[in-house]
Amino acid sequence: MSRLELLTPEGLRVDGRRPNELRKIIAKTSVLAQADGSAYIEQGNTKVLAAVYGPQEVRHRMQILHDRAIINVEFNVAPFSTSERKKRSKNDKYDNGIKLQTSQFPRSQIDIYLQVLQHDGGTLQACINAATMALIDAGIPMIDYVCASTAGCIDKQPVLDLNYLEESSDSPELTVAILPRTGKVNLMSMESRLHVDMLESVASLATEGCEQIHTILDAVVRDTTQHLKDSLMQ
Amino acid sequence: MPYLSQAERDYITEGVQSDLRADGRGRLDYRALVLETGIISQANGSARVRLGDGTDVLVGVKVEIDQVEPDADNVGKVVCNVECSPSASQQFEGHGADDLNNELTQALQRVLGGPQCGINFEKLCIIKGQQCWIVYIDAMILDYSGNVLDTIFMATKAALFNTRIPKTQIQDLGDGEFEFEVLDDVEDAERLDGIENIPIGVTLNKIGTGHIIDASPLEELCTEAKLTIAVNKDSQICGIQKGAEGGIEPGLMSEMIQTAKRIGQSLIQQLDQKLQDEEQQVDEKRLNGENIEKLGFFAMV
Amino acid sequence: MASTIVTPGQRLGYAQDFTAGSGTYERDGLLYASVVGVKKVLKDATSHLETITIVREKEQSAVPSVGSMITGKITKVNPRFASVSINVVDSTPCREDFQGVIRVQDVRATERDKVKIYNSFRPGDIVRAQVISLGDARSYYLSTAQNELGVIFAKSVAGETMIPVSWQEMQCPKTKVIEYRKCAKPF
Repeated sequence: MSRLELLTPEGLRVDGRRPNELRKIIAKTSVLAQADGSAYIEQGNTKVLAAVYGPQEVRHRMQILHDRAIINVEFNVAPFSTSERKKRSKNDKYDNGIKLQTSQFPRSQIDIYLQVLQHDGGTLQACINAATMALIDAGIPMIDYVCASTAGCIDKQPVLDLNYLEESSDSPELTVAILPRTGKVNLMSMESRLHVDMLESVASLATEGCEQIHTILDAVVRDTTQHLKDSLMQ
Repeated sequence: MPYLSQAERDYITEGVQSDLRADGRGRLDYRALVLETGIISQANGSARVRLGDGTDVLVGVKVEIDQVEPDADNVGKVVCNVECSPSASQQFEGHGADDLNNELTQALQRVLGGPQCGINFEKLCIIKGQQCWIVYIDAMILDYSGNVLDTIFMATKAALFNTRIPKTQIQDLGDGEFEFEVLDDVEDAERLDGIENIPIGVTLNKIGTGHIIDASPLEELCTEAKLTIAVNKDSQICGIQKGAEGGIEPGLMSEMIQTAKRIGQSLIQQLDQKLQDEEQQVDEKRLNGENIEKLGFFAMV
Repeated sequence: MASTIVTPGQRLGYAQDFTAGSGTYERDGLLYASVVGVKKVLKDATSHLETITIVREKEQSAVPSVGSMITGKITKVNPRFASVSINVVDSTPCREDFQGVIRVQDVRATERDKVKIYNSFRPGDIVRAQVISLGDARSYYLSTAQNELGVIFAKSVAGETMIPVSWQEMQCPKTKVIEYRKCAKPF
């Protein structure tokens, strides 16, 4: 059986990247009119839209927490986002470990809606990054950015930011989310098999990726805030 | 659901009467529109339309091979699905959008599912009595500020224009047995037949005694009755749907239909022109080996 | 001092040198930004420390707090209280409505025991009121026990906008019928 060549002898990957290279990231904030905060992020061909509403009154009184806000995340995949068309899987809820100062908003609710428009590997990391950007855009106080990145291992070579082809060819994939300024790990998830000896190098590569993403996102946020500064300087 | 105070309602109604709307438009003025095709690489065709500062619709078209229906064995079909994302409004969270999704899906399906849409369904059949192409149209509402249905129609027309169906090669195995092969070559894929006849929808909202097109969310709230009319490039009416509670006088009704025909006509012309220009530019760049740079999502925001 | 853009998690200075203002937080003796915005250092008259605040782009939507003036619509009445849907806090419209109640003892300052809710408010009236407590889990407690507070807009049974004729009466200009309301004093 001819297995797809994921790593060329020169050490380049299927899409021509080096092992420790991220895909191109395009991020934009304040893209939606209705939401309090919104962001759109492209990591290669993975495209995610995030919308944040809140803080606001809790809709279901059962869920009220009297000392902090509840966070509700809804995750949606567009039917045309993958190569096979499929009916959407709605309410695939998962907590994405976003670090908020929720104690500032007792008895309220923050909603985060994530919409995957196109899927090409690394959906979780793109969702986390998009949610972070949307929360920043909404002006919700946060301890720090939460940046996420994936890393995997192909032929014993740790590689950063897997695309769909690499993801689906049985290579292990580890998603890590960190608070870049303290380096604390917020989320770590892996659903495949990886030798424990490799784990550390893969994890550190992912962490490195997170820091690169942080630099990119921070630049975007500063860029979009520039006009606020200009208006205040007048 | 936001509600409207009497003062706001009067303001809008009187404004419509004197042909001046809250955002400075006249009764029959459309908002500015941003359109882009071919932005979802996994789909066979896609388009995104952003209307004014709000309504944002993304349409992806995917074609798949399936068995033909036993009672119509020589045609393919079009299946529409509209989804409202919670990013457009909080009300769409969970199952909150189900009713609206159904309503919009039905509206689109009724126009595009039958022969009135102009698509040659027979061309979608690969082998008579066996297999055909099914065209799945998935519309997604990402942001909301009024007049969604017209935007969906427009985005759908653009996405179908952008859609290419792979060519198939049929082999005759004798004894009435056929086998076919899907050609992988992207260059060889062809457009749907009859694409130029696909209608678009024009929704007229009756406010007071006047009627307007391209209503904003506040104007939609004080609409007494609305009429969505699907028209194609030859001014033929391909479907009419009345919505909202109020009634429409017969005289006004025919006036509204005439207006819709006229406006639909000019919208289709502009849309076709834009699509052709865009395609020509892309083709030219491809010939010259230049990099094709897409506007990208939300580039204009 | 030149203002600079800061992003969440950015270090701003030592906690002993500044007072933490809005949009900042303190951890391990250091001050950090928690929102994106422009950093401002303000002199505080009452304290010898300067205050760091972050001016953010989008202000949070209006939320009623104790003491704020609200404008809202009466949604239902019963002998014990009137329910209000709060639309405007101070002068900022709310993105979504909050629920409030005016209890019978909070309608006016004098002769509280003689207040009848149905002689003070009717559903559909627009009232101006003050928030007196954050109330229970369901609603804010509101009060109209001041001259400037109470009904500011009401329609008569005949559907006409009524004119206040005294602090507790309103008259329909069409039918001349007098209805009872706890009217707000115009200012």
